[in-house]
Amino acid sequence: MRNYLNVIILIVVAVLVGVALYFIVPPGEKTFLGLDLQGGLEVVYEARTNAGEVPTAEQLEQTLSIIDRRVNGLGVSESTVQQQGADQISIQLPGVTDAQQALAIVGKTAQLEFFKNDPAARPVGPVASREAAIAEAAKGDVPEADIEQFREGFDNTDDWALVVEPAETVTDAEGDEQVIPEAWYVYRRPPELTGAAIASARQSYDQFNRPNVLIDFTSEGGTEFQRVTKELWRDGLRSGQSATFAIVLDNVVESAPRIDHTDPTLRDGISGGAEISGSFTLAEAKDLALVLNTGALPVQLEPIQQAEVSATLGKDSLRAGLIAGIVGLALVLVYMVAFYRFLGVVADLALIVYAILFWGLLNAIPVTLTLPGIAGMILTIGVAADANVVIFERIKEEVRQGKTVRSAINAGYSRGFRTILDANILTILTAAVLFYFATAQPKGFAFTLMLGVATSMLTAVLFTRALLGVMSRIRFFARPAFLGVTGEIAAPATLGSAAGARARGRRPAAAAARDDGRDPAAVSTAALEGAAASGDDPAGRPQAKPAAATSGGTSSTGARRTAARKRKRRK
Amino acid sequence: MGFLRGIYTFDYMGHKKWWFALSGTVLAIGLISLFVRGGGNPVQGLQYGLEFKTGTRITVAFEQPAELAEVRTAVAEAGYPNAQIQQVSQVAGTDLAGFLIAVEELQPEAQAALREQLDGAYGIAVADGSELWSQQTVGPTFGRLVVEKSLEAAAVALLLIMAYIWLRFSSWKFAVGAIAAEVHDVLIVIGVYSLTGREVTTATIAAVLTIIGYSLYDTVIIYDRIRENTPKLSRMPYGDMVNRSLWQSITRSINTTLTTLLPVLALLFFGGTTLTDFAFALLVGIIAGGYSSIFVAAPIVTVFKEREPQYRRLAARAAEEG
Repeated sequence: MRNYLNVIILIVVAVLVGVALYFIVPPGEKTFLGLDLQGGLEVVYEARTNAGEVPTAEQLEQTLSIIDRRVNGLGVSESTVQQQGADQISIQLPGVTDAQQALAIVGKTAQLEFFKNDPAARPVGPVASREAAIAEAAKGDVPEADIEQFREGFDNTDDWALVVEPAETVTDAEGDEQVIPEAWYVYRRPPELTGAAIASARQSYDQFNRPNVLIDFTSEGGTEFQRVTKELWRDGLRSGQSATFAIVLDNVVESAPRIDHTDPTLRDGISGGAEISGSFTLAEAKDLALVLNTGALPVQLEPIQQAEVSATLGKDSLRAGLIAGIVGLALVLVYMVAFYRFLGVVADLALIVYAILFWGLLNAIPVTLTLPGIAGMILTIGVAADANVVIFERIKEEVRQGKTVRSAINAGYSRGFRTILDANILTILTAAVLFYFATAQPKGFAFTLMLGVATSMLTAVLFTRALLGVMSRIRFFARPAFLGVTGEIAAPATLGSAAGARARGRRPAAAAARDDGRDPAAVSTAALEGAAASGDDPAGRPQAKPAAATSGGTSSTGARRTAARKRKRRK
Repeated sequence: MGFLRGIYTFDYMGHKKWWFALSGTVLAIGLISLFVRGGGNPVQGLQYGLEFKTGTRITVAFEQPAELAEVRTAVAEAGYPNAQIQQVSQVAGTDLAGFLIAVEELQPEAQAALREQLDGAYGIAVADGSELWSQQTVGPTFGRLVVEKSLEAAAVALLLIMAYIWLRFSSWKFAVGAIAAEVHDVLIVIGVYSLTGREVTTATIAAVLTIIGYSLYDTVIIYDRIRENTPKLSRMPYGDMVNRSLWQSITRSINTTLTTLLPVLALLFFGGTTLTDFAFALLVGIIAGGYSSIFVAAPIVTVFKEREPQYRRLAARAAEEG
């Protein structure tokens, strides 16, 4: 009956190999390559609130979703945005070539604020430096606590914002270039409007055909904007000088439009949209529109780790990894055949099946293949072979003790399996811990390791057992020599014939004697004494030799005692 | 071939003290190296990779041919006299030669200033419309996070392994032997890294954690055989029984170690930079793991077991007969 089961297992494995091949062929196209193999950009950000504190879970979640939308806006396929620890966000952008641009978009807080430029809203500025602005603010009505925050390097507190207007080169009427130096201000929060008032933003061109960004407000935002501009128009009328307001993005003045109080059409404020016209390049304007559309991050992001991999480097790494994998597999294949002969061929078949199934599985899930993942894969080749070593050694041992090939195979698997299970569970356990704790890179390694060890149990144990089970029914294969066991069998091994099959369960003479004597090594050696150590097989020979060679030392005690008992029996 | 035969007859447990002394010596050498190289602080006795250091690493290719010394001067003039500068024959993704400049963490303005200065002096090469200037910046928190997480992972893994072995072999003695072997293996890898001055990267740490899991393979093989032989050879002194178990299982111990070492060696020789890092740590760890299962784990179990009254009696009787 067992044989039907074996045949079924073989058929199932064949089908699985077929399915796996479907996921593999054509190779290279169906494997998802990680950033390190494909090239791209990886950044880890640390998130902090305005006050420099660890953000709440909610803030971080919001940040993740905004970044996700921005990354999608970049048009990068297979990008990943992940939370890491309590306050870190790791972003992987495969295939990105312009790292600076990507970073500018992804990590930008994009806190957009509209401030009035009047003494109440802007008590400080313009002054020439950050320090000067802080000193000036300390004299005014900015509280000491906020000043302290500024001094520590933060630009934002809940009630105040330290803002810079970057230096700019302008061409005056005579065509001379003039540099307007940067200017610093302190603004009072809350601003008149924030990015929340924006319904959508898009890149466009102003009247001089320079790139700008057009903003459409939400209905609420539009009303507010109209109120503010109306107030500014009136302020201008009252003072006789047109009032301005500042559009501030992440503490940088992007533009400071003037509301012309001499223009009566503005008397009720400006309805509709607004325009941000700084000195943008086309790309900058597009990027700004993208970040405004996705909204402001509730936190500040500081890049703490950043790595760029060029596509060429990725390709080189992939090739090196593949070569190492193929060479490693080949070495193990050769070693197994050299050491275990026919059993080695079976193990090799299992290893090849393993490689195909594992690769197919990785593609089907799909697992993104990274460099450490390749290392994990290659290591599992060794682990898969280990399982067969354990089982085959056991089988050889059983055959040497006089079991038939068939029953030796059964015993080898049932006894070896426990060892393999224990050892593999420990490897999987450690990999799982690694997966749970580790940061992105070792995670890939741990995952492939777990997956591979689990798959290898299927091929190295189940598949080889079924294969050997079917083969041992064939007379030709059912010879001890085929198992790499030569010339030192305790009792004549019965061929895997019908008689041998029936003998299963019944114990051959030597095995029975062994249990009696409670000392298998001594008994089998006693049976072997004088037998020519013929084989050229380095594994088989020494196993048989020990007791024969031990004339002194502790081990002889056992042998001597067994001999004594034998004499007693003979009486 | 005398040696080969010898491994099947050798009295391993009779020489326990030698193995403990040998392991102790190797571990001591590693520890001394950590202290000496760390200037008294063993934590500093390793060469940590960039991901553990705060700093900025810049890769750049120039239009004008530049000498290493010239670039060094230029970087020093820009205010970074302590920068580490290395010439690279090929900047990744191009056919151009370039430089690797490692400096302390640069603020964006400082980066821009340095970039401008070098561009002015040699002209930063342009390929595919972008300047061949890439930089990697790492803050201090990232490295700390990696180390903290790894220590957590190692501690949890060791506890789980201990519990599992305790459960499966129903004795804390086996668990202690296995854990001692584990710690032994990890310490040897750390010692070798300190001695050779190899760079410790996140890959190294992942490899070390893997060793914790994998190096138990051989230990489990031997333990299993000891467990199997314990009732069968119950009249034999414990050390002799362990010896016999080792003779019976040593072929598979060697073979499982070799079959895993082969792919790891392939990784070491063909794998490229990152994989080589992995492979080296695995190589040392797997060899140490193969050794420690026979010469650390089994002897420790024996030391504990021989103190049990029944085995003390057996040992005494064997000594009489012997």
